[in-house]
Amino acid sequence: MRLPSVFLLAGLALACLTPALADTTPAQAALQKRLVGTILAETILPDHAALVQATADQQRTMRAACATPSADTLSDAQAAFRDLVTAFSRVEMYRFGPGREDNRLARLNFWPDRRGLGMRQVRRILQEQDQTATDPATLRGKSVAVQGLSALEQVLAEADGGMIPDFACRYGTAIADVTHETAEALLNGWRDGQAGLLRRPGPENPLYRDQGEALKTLLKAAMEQLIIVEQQKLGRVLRDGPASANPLSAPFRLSGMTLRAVAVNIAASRAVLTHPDMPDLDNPDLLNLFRELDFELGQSEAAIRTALDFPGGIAARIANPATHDLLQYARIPLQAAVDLHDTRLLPALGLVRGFNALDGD
Amino acid sequence: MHSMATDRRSVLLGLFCTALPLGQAIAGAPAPPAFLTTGRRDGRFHAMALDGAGHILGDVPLPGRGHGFAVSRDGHHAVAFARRPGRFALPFSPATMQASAPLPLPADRHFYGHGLFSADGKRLFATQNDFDAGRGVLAVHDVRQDYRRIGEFATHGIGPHECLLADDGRSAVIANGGILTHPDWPRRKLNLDTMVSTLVRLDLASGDLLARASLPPALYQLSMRHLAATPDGATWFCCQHQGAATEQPPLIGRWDRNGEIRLIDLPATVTRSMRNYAGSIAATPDGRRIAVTSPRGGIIVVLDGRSGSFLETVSLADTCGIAPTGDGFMATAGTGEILLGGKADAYPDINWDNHMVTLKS
Repeated sequence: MRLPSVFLLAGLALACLTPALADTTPAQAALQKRLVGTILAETILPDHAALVQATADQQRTMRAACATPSADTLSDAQAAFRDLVTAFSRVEMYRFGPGREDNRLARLNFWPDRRGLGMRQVRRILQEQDQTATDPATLRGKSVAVQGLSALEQVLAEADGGMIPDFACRYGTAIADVTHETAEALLNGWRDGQAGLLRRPGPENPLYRDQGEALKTLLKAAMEQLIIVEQQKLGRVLRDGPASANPLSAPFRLSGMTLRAVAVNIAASRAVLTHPDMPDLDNPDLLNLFRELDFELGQSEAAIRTALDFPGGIAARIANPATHDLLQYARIPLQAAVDLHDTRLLPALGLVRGFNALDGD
Repeated sequence: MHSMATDRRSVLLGLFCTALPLGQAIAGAPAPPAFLTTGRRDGRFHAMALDGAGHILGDVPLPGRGHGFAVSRDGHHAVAFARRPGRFALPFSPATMQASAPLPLPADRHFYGHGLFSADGKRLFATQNDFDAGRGVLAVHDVRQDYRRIGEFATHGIGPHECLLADDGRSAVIANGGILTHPDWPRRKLNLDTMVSTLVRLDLASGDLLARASLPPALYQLSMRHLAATPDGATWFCCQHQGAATEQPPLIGRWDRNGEIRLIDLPATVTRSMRNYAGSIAATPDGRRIAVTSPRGGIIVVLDGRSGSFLETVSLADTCGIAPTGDGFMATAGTGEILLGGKADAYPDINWDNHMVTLKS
């Protein structure tokens, strides 16, 4: 016998599990479905495939740099690493689903390294020449901080006289192997699982009840990345001025990829959030909104790319007042984009931003 | 004035709605405050006192977003805590809603949103983050000396969240959520690959660790965060899962007086609907009913407090705050809705926050 609800003094029986979903018009639901499909087909799946290719290139170039050490093979491995950082920066925002499983995103790149923990662990492996770190099978069992891009960056920085020392080279190759395995697992997870879950929501879908939930998941990932870029990757590095700037907290500082990676992060979020050239979009207000968002993010990306024209690494660039100002400026359109998303884009797409469902509360 | 609540759920459930005057008690003698909760109105955050019918009796402006409360046993004193990683805790009188000076806080600590008064009301304890050391602490404040901070105890874990005065009146039960955070990276989880969540019981006079419980290693990414006590000496807890969304482990459990800890199995459709996120938990004073809110799922799950068996779910979008009313519960939602006594009312200009407490009359 069904017990009366504890919320009902009158003892009315409650229907079970009525989904508490946002009211969405049929046109909005159709648009949500179309956007999810577009983002998957044009951004997420190709970007993850590109990551697999970049890790394969890194494997090949690392092996060549170890087998025939020379300035040329080292240069190839370093160039492959820069391409790998670029490819990773396109998918870095997807910290859910296949990215969360087996801690794959953290395995690909351990960041933020709050207290230099990962750097210390990598240094210890290099100093002690821990042979178990040169076998991908045993490296996978170690801390995620020593098996991803930040570790490989440190290994490549060991190069001296156009060569990577033997042990570091074998360790770096094992990192490249693990990274490739992880990237393949990530792509398979998206292609064979997560993409279908996002495309086909419904009562039997374990993750998404409707297309709105699916779309909101993707928009949230893109927005969180913009907030992380604005507050952490730029804000924490720039601080109040060149005198107090903190280049040591910049990701990919050793390879000189900090700002390129940040620009790619923004471009990746832009690809998810804005669709200014969407054909047959019979909604001029939404189209204008996409264009506004696209303009803001484009401004930010352009400012960062202009800052790249200044010579030197991140430390030199933020020590220069003009570049520092330029990068501070790049934060403003990001803030505007976050505001546009929260106040206008979500309602226009028939989505509601929850007040009470933030992580860790 | 707030509007009639005519959402789809209410209609489906046959609930009826009435319009209640905002900020005004029922005609006649002012009702005593029955509940405390926090919310956002006009972009500002408040602690609010509600009467037994859900009318707002008064409020205390907060400097930022609030979270939970500590209330003295006699009901004369309350403290509203900032949502993590906030830095305020504001004492006030529930009867007058007059605030006094905020609690002092060292520069290298922040609050986690919860606290408790000692049985005699002379001490206030608050969960805090010693973020440079990456460890949780329970701060000790002397109520009679304007809440002067007189010490702290280790919580023997990371990320302590809700804490309760145990039934012996001399110890506290604390949920160490296990998630490492740092204010330099707001709301970023820094240790998901290695996190460990525990429940601990501390002696409130000495800080001694009296008992500790954790879940099986396979559930290491299940973060125990919120608590409710029942008269049989058990502590009920609810969790947020930080692992893969497809894993969907149980989110509700019970820690018995004899030290046994167990998770409660729910029907698969209910677990799935909770979206790996429980936001708050409450027990009726007799311990016969347990209610857990899931804002992401938009549902409230009700259990039998003696057997642990599942009784029902109630739909309420973005719900989180829940508190016992006697033999039932009152629930609030980020949408402004209040569910009480078979009626769903809405304050559309208010976003009710995560937690609510019942004041003893």
